[in-house]
Amino acid sequence: MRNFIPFLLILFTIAALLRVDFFFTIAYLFFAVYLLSRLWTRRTVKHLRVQRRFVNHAFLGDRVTVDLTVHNAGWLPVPWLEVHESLPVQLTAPPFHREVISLGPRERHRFAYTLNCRQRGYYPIGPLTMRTGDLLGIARHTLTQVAPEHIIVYPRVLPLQRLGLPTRSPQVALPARSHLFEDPARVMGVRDYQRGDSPRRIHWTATASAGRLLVKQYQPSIARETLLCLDLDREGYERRQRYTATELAIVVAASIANHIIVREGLPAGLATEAWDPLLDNGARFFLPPRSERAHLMSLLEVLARVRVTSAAPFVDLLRRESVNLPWGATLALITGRESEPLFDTLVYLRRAGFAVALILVRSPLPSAELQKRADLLGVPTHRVWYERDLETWR
Amino acid sequence: MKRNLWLENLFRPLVIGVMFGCIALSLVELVHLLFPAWNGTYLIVGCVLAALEANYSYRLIRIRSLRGTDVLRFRAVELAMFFLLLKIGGYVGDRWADVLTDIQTWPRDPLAILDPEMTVAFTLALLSWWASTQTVRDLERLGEPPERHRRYVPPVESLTSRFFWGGVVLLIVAGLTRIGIAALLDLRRPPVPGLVLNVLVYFLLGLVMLGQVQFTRLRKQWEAQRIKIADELAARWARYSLAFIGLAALLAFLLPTGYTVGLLDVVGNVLELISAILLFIVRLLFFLVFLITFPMAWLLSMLFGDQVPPPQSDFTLPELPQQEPGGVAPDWFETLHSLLFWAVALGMIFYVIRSYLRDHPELLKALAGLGPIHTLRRFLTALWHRLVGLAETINEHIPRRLSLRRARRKQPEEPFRFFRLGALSPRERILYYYLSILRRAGRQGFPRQRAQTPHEYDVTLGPHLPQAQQEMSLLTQAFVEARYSRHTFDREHARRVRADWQRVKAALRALKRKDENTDERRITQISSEETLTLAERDR
Repeated sequence: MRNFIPFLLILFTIAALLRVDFFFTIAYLFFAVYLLSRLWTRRTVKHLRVQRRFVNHAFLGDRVTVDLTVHNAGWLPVPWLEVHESLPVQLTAPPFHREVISLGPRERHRFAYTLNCRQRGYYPIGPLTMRTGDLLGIARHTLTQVAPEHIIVYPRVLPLQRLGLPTRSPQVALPARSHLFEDPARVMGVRDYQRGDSPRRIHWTATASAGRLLVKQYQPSIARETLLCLDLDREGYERRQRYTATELAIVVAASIANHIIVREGLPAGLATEAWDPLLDNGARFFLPPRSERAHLMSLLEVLARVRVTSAAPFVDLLRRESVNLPWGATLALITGRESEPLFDTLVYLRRAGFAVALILVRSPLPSAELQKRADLLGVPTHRVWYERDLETWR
Repeated sequence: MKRNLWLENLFRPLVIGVMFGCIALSLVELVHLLFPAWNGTYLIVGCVLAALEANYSYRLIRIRSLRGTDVLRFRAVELAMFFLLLKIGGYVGDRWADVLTDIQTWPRDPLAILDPEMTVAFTLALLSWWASTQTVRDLERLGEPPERHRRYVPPVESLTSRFFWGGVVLLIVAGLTRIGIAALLDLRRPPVPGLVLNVLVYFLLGLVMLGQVQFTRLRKQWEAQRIKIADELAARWARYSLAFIGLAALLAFLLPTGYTVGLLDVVGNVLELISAILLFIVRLLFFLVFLITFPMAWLLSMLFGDQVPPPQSDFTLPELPQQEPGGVAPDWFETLHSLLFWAVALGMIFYVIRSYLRDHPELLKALAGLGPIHTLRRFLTALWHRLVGLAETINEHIPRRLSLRRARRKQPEEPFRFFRLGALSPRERILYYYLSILRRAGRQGFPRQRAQTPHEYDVTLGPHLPQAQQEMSLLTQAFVEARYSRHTFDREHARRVRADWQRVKAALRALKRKDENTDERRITQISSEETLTLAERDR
């Protein structure tokens, strides 16, 4: 109300000139209205409390209910309050929740809305913007903002069969030709006891059953650690299928990690270079191989939020991160296309003593030449392209 | 949008009608002041009815979607009806024969129909009708998207301006009616007390209407944006609006409205009061001096007879100036009342201007950029910084001085306490042991430099006391601990330190003796050498 103050001054001038006592009362009335409007609005804004409650981790397909409570902690009522909560368009439509409420003294108002976790990602819930004002439109509207919180929607985790990958090997604990180490957790079979065998190797159950001493035979292995190397460089995938392929690559990485950690009980790690929405910048991720469930969740969190980036060559990532791995560890390379530098790196990795598996996420099958070169290097190669799987959750 | 029929059909037209009726009432009162025989009651009713009719006719035209000549015809009939009704209203109370006589003159003199009274009445009713039509139009436009042309005025602004200007007219007319046109230029006239009901009704209804307008505007905006609106909002809005206006009115009625003493007179009276109080204090001081010197002067007069003049015994305690009955001295109650009034009024103006400038920073910036204001601001800022600096200095100095004074007052007790070692706490004993060593060493030519820490001093003194070097270090350590730590010390600890102290003391004493012996030997040696020299010379 632009002309309120000039009017107030005119009112006071008239009252002073005419010297009618009651006109001063009228001037005071308008001044009181002006003063109280401003003070009221200012005070009520100070006493507004907002609480947002929701489960900030969800799996794909989950429905997350967000409880938003606006509390007027003061004794003055809030005549009107416009609440605007910004939401990610991937999770709800329209991408906001708006409501106008009125809060009495010490009153709470609860909103609830549901988010459909239809796509993996790291999404901000909010910011919440509140607008309020006085009853007569004298005081300016006041805006307050409540910082956003975030929700993580994990990528889909599929059984490896659905992705067309073998459930044992080649990703984990590759059998070594040279029997340098044996993995006591991976019993291959039993044989008759020979002199010199450690008594700890005796398979007592089988011995009792067979009536003769039998000892366990362990699968030989070199190292049990697997590092999933995920290519999220824009150039690593064909332009037309980039979005589908990268999303599927992330699903592949998540599924393999889940398989290794949960099913096999073995350590798995992740190395990738991607765009991180949390930093709003490109970031390198290296999660060293671990076998705990909590580690799997942190791995899935990274996979939930990473996005395709540019100028992050996959071969550089492989060479850089392989130095952090023990000799004999397995590297599962997930990428969209093969290239000469990639083959050079495969040679380098094999020479460095690592077991390597190549998973190509793309539509065409690997060529015979590629298969031949990979076989020569001793690198098992797989192709993943299950479009229908993606269709179900895209 | 869901229309509130009660609001649109009854509340709004009625409020607008009553508000225009309030203005008309004051106008009629003013005219009545000039022409006491004139009865203008019908004009008030006419203005109210015109306002009501304007609301319905506007909406009727909208509903029937009348355009062009249809609207003109409709309006012409409307105005003719107004004229007719006002003319009939003008005859209310007149005798039937007079009315007939008047009507008979119309064919001869058609202009007699439009006599001055009728002209004024019709103009006022027309104004009321026009303003009501505009008001209804603005109310209908509330919440609509703004039009894109330069002269566009938002409906809220238009409504509030109309309300405010109507209020200004009402106040001027009502004020003139109260004070009389003749007394308008007399600024020394007494204030006019009493409630002006139609003014109060106009402004209260206007405020209620403003609240309602704001609600309608926001509601239309929210509905256009498809924002969900809480069901209880409308009811609460009405309730809070009434409570809010009631509270503001209560506050307004509690504040002082009149003043009998002008602002400058009030300031003058306050200054006079302050000077009177200061004078009283000065005279009181003189009186006290007199009371002290009186016995001395009396004794001197007894001793030296008439050489010293006897003191004036009729010196009495001065009193504050009293108001003389019927005099020109200020009435303090009136001054106080006026002081309160001026404080409220000036505070109000100050707050309003400050808020306005805060809401319009560009205006503040432009004002600050003006040469004289810029200079004044710089001067005031510099002055403020000086004052703040002075206050900080005083704040810093006074407590230090006070603590120093307190410390000085306590000082005489300290030597006495230190000599009674048994009365000291273990911590104080340790401090005493070390300080006594400092004094002794200082007397023996090993004073501690001001910049030296206890440990540095230990390094300086230690080599001179080879037999008690370790004890000196222990004593230093104990002193540092006692001086700077917060933990408690038991008597056993103090006893151990005492042993070290005694050894260091003994070492110092031994050093002193050694120095004295060396001096004696040197003196003996020098004197023997001198004796030999003298003997040789004698030879």
